[in-house]
Amino acid sequence: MRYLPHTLLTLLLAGCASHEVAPLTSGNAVIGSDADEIKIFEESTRAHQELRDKGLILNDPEITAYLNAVLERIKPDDLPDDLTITVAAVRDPVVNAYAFPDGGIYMNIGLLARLGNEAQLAHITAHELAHVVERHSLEGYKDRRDKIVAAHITDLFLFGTSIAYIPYIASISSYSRSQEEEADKLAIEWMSAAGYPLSSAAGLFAVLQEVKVGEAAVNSMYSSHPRNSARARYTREYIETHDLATNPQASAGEDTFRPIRAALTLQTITLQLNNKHYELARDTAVRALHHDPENPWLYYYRGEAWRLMGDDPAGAAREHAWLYDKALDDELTESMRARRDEFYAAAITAYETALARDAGFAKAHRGLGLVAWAQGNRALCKDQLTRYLASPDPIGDRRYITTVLRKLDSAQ
Amino acid sequence: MNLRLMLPCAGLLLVLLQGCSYTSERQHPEFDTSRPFIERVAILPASVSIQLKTFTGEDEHLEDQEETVRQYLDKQARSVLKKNGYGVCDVHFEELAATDSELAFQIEQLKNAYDAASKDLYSGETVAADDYKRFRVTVGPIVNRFAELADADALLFMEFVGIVKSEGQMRKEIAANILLGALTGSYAHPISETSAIQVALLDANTGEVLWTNINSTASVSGDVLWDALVKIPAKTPRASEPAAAPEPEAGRQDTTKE
Repeated sequence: MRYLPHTLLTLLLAGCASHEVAPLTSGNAVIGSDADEIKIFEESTRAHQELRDKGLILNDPEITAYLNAVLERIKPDDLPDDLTITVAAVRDPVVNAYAFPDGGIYMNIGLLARLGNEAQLAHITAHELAHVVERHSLEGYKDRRDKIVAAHITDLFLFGTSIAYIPYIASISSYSRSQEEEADKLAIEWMSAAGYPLSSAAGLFAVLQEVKVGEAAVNSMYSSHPRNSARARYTREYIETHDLATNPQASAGEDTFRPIRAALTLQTITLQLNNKHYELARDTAVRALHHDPENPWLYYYRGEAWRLMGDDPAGAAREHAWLYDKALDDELTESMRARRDEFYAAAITAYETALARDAGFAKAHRGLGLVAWAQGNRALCKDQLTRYLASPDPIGDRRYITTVLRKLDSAQ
Repeated sequence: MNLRLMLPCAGLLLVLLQGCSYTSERQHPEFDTSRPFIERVAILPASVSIQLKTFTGEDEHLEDQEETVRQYLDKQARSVLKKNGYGVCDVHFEELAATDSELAFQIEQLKNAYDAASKDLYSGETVAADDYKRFRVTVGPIVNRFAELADADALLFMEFVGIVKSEGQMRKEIAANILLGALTGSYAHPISETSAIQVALLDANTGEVLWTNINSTASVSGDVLWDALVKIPAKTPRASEPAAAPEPEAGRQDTTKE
């Protein structure tokens, strides 16, 4: 028994040993030569297939071509010929990007909608590309497997108490901190070589710093605020201490990125509303209005977020608790319920602003009608929803609106 | 509901329900009055996830078993709905989605919307058997596209999650339980597989959740659906029409287990 602590420590340390994997640019790396690498390539293919089968890969040739043009600009020349690297946008509102080991880079539209310019996009692309080039997934896969086996064996000695999994769980974030740092440094070098202004890095980390805790993918580098400020610091130090061209006069590509962001912002908001993330949808609309203050769609969606908070105060409370790490209790739900009139008033203002921007914007009548329905104003509801249905635009929710009108008639 | 949360929640709920007058069903307060008008139900492709948990942590999806369960759930659902007097639309969204990525995306979004909405249905509170007809929850107008395609009055949504433990994982859990048993004097044999299902009937016009139920079992089998769905309230005739003769008794299909 006196050897037990020593045995446990040995087992835990056995799981901490790290595997070194040669990067793809090393010249002697052979892709797919390792059974583990073949396995994770197969998993990548399956994951890509799943994204495609679920319709999650954005089918917009113009945006896809733009993302891949940015990739081509920052891609180093010494990559193996048999490695195909591509970028795709994923119709997911969560702030995240990721790379599969076989060279597939995926950017969620929720992240793209947050970025300020092409240079920031290039930085993210370069960071994800660095994970592929350095084969961080393969390294992580081998490390994780060792750690879980060591944790299982240690757990047996601890009578199945699961205490042994705590250090394992703490270590299984997709990439280790050192891997993220390595990717950040490579990204800066490639950005410099491609002629992007390196000052954009500070802007990117400032954008990521603003991402709310619940808004980004769990355990991703986009969700960790202390790490993002540390990343900004060591990236700045790396630029200062290395002989890199900072390209201060180069364009950050705000104009080329603007239409991409505009198109993806509206899609992001609809997905956020679908997931009952009203506050996030409102934030996205408000941010976009800084760039595009005349767009009636943004006012409409801001109104939708307010209206749905009024319709669903329990959902609004749940989101608030999740975003700010608060307890979800009756008090919070009641406080949201007590603010319903305030939410509806804000929604009406937003819809009316949309109409002020474009008098023919039919969706605003839909919003005004549904607020009137929630507030029991039947005449106004009927008037607004009838106007909406009379619109020449395609109406995807005709059944929904017609049902509201039918209920309105039967209630009279 | 998040798939990872579904199993423990369903299990906990069912334990709590044993011996008490609680129910795992949830119903919209107006479903009893709207039920006579539900003539046609379209079955959405079941979301099925079956995971093999291994000793090395290299967990994997059992894709063949997932497909078998998916087909089985569809058959079972058709059988139970017909038995309960509902017409079932002859539309297979999964086949349509194979060539229509936008429809595939909408199926995924409907699942996300349901997962978000179900947090109000199964928030951890127990619900008394005489108090389950009070849940006003909606997934919104996203249902309209499916209603148009199938000309349906309601949609049936199913989400299945199963976990199978590998032999290595089982040996490890047995060994841990034996060691623990030596200390405590009692041994509990670990469960090698388990599955849970959530099934819901949605109003195809408004997106309101009309009725829902969950169930779990200590095996990975589509049979878990039967006990959950068989409780769906039968279609009732409209005020002006005579009661329809029920369909012949539909038995369970063969088990999906191989």
